[in-house]
Amino acid sequence: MKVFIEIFRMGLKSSFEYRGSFIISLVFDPLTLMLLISLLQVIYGNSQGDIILGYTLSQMIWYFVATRFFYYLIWNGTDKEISNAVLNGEMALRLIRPLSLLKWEFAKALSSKIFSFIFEFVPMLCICALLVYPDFFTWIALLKYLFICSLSFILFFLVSFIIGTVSFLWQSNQALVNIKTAIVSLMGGVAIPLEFYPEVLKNAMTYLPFQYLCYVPAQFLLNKSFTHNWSYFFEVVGIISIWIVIFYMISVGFWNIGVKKYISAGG
Amino acid sequence: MENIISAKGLTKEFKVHHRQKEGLMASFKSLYKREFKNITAVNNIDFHVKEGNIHGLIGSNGSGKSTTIKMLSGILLPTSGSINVMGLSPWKNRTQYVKNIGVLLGQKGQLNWELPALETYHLQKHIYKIKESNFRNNLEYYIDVFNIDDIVRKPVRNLSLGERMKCEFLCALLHEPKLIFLDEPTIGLDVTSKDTLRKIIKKINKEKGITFVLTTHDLDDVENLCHEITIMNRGNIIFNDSFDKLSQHFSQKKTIRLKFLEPITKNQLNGFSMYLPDAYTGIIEVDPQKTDIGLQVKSILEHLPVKDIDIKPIDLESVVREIYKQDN
Repeated sequence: MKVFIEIFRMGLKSSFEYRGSFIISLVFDPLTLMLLISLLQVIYGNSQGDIILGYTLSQMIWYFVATRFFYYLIWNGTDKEISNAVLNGEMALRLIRPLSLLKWEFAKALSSKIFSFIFEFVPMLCICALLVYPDFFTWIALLKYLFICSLSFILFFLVSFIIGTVSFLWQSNQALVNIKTAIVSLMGGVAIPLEFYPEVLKNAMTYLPFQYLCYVPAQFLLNKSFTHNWSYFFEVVGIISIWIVIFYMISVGFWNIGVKKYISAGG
Repeated sequence: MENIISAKGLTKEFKVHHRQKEGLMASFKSLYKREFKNITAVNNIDFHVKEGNIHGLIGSNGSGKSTTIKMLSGILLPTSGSINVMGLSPWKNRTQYVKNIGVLLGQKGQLNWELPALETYHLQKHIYKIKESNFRNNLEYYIDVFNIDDIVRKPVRNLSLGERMKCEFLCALLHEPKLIFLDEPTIGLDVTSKDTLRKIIKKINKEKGITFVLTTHDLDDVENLCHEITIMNRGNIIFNDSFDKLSQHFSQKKTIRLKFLEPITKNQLNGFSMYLPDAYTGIIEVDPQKTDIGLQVKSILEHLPVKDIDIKPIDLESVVREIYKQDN
């Protein structure tokens, strides 16, 4: 646990060294949100009702805010990082530590997300609330959302780690990273809410883990009526936990195969 | 002295993508049809290192020395063969094993780039579960040995290569390993930094009894540091003995180094077995027991436009070249 805290502490310190990038995101994200608000206001103004596919105007705006929060709280580049370390030979040094790569990468990813939570999520939540008042907001909905996000983060990390370990076999995993980005964007609800898809496709997605990365957590933030039910909350927690166990087992298997196939650059 | 490393029948094969032709069409073709070639980087070698020694592993690029060191340190899984280091197998007792070794890869670093080296040392303390008192004592001792009290407090990205190497080296030593693998530790360093690093390695080896296995292209490293030497060529061991034995190999021989008044071509050598590093320089290796040096010099002066002449005992570089020549 001490190692974990120390890696986490170092990750935070490293993030502070590059404070410029999060200041830029704090300036630009509200600007892009304002453009989105204008667009959605036009769409809602020209529609026949106040609700489109179950979303009020403020909920729709906040859905897209939640997609931004997805990048702050859940998204991580572990796959790219492992691939880069394999390609430039730095992985050799990670393999001589008496600590598993999974724990090491998880601690690093978690530290970067906690940094984002404090310095990106919280300020953006306040800024967005000032721009568009979230009339649906309750503290319990926010807490449920954050809890689901923490599980979604673990799930996303494991997916990312598995793709990362593929680079032990293929060296570059860029194609898989691109596929992952497209799948998460389309099937996870990052691009648009899943209600916009045909019913058949939407039903198919319930059997996959991707909607639990962005779409489902966003429903809790938006305090949709079906999320008020605690049994639904526990059902979601249970499903994500099962996916976490499945992906954890896959990641251990991929790691065991990959590390034996590893070719260290330069020797 | 007991062996700290015993490797038997060690082999490492790599399957690498092999393209017959260059160009855009060949690249396109490789998208759907790829040819692979098996490369034997290390070919069935037996390798032993005695405890407390500084063991040099030398060889040209692609000779298999780095692959050997990576197999011994547990980074690469051998295709076949067995490794026993301090009673442990690098791959079967991985966590336990890596706690007992230190690794310094000359072209790669484990220090966090953005933070001072001290921060990484604190992380190492937790990763290797080093006791606070031991950590403090080791840190003080090595900071003093390396003379880097100020350096460890600056962000690593602001350090020179020589400073960074010292910090990296300290990082590999903190957990008190009994064995340290150094892969080209002096690569890219200036003469002063190289000399400092060599002195440090010698001092640590003497005072702490740590065994070092180092790969290098710099024969000054070998001459100044190593008790035992293994020379590798194309994945095979072609010399494996003490430095004294290697010295005997060349102690009797002499090198005659000539400077010419005008450029010399190979056709002008008149049967002299001479190595020409450039058109104005010639080097001849002579065994005084077989050849009369006086007569040899007289003959050279008669046939070639010599400006300057220098007779010295043969250097290590020439010996290694000779060993390679014999193997090839």
